[in-house]
Amino acid sequence: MVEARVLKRLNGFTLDVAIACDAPIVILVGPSGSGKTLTLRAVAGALRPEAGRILLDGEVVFDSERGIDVPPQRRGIGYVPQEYGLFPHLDVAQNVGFGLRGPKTGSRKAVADMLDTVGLIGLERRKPRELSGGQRQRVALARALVLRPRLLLLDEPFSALDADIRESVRGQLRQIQQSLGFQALLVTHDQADVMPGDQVYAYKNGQAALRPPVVK
Amino acid sequence: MKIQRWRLHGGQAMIVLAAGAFTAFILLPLVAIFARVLPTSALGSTLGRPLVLEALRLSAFTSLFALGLALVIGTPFAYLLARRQFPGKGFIDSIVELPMVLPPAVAGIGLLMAFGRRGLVGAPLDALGLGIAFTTIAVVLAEAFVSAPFYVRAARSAFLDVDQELEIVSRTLGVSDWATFWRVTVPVAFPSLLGGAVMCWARALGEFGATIMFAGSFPGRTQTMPLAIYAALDSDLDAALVLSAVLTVVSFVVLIVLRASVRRLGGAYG
Repeated sequence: MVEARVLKRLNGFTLDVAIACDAPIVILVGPSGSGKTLTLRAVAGALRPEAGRILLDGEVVFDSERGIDVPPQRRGIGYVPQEYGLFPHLDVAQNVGFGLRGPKTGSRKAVADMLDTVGLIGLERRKPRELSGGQRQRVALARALVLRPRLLLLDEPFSALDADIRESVRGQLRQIQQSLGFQALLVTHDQADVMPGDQVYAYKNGQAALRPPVVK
Repeated sequence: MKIQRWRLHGGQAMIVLAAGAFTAFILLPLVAIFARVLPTSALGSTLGRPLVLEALRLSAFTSLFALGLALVIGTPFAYLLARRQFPGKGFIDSIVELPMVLPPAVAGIGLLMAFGRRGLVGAPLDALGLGIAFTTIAVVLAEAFVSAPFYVRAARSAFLDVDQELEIVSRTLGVSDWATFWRVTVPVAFPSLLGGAVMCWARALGEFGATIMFAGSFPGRTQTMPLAIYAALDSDLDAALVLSAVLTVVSFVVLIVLRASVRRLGGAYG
């Protein structure tokens, strides 16, 4: 459950949105430069709004009036940026285990389990540059999900993929979402990413409007 | 048509000639040093002379110390310049690079006026018995003043090249800002940081003008290799030549490391 009211001015652009998301998959759709990524960053804690309030599962993580700004480290969210943001100097297993703490054996098992879930067994020692686009995306997913975030933020997760695999990757993401049961906030410019049941906010010039649900 | 082709050939000949002349111009002095040094039977014994050994030791010590100063202070500073906006940043940006274009002699005078016995900061320090000018510390300061900007500049652009999304991801994974810097930012920027550090060290090793004015040329205390070369020129040409040969070899190694670091940067993370 995400509730966010965000006001941010940036180089002549004004982001002024209020969203309340309770569906398992929420889609922010709109042209580039309409403020979708800025919204994600505000929710992640990487962008400080001038005014607003952000709640995750009812917990206030940002409130400009009360001076609350929980750092990204303690928001319990997973973030998969455009191009996936894999650490280029680390291999697949090190990327996935990056945020894990505690004993080595426990982390190793968690990493192995997660690699199994996203179907990357056997690629542990590969560096990001040796992976295909789809594999990179799954590494980024695994790296975020291994920490069991309450919310996963995905920025244009399919735009960097070749058109012929995009459809199957869309299906895989929804499968992983269903089996692990986290909420996903997904930014896209592509209407084809929207599925029945998704909650959709249409972005335009820094404003967002809830779209009536799509019925099959 | 014929004339045009001849012109083209003429142009090419000019380019080849220019390239050849330039290469020879750079190589000739280096070849001349080794032509004098290599046949000398006293090569080993010259290297072992106190004057030469002390200059080597002092140069190694002071240049590494200057590099250390540049790394410790310059790394966080460069990160700040790359990532944060603050008032007066443009001014600080240009101040940082000033020593790269400032004549070393001017740097030497400036350091003397600041830290000398009657200098701005030097006078009160001297009263406390902490004289800096004409000590080994002065050598380190002169080298750091002239060379640190090379590192800071390289480090700033290295940090600018690190995708900020990587740092954001690291933070959302629960990794502190400090740990993110060491586990993500520095390793990703490493090839460029290494290149900057090597440039900085090479510049410190070769420092002459600021050192001789601010620290003088006292064997064993402030007489680094370049100063020893100058001092030995009249009295002991063999020593001057051997030291020059050592510095030439070091310069070549620096160049090789720089090239390797640039290649790594281009190829490793692509």
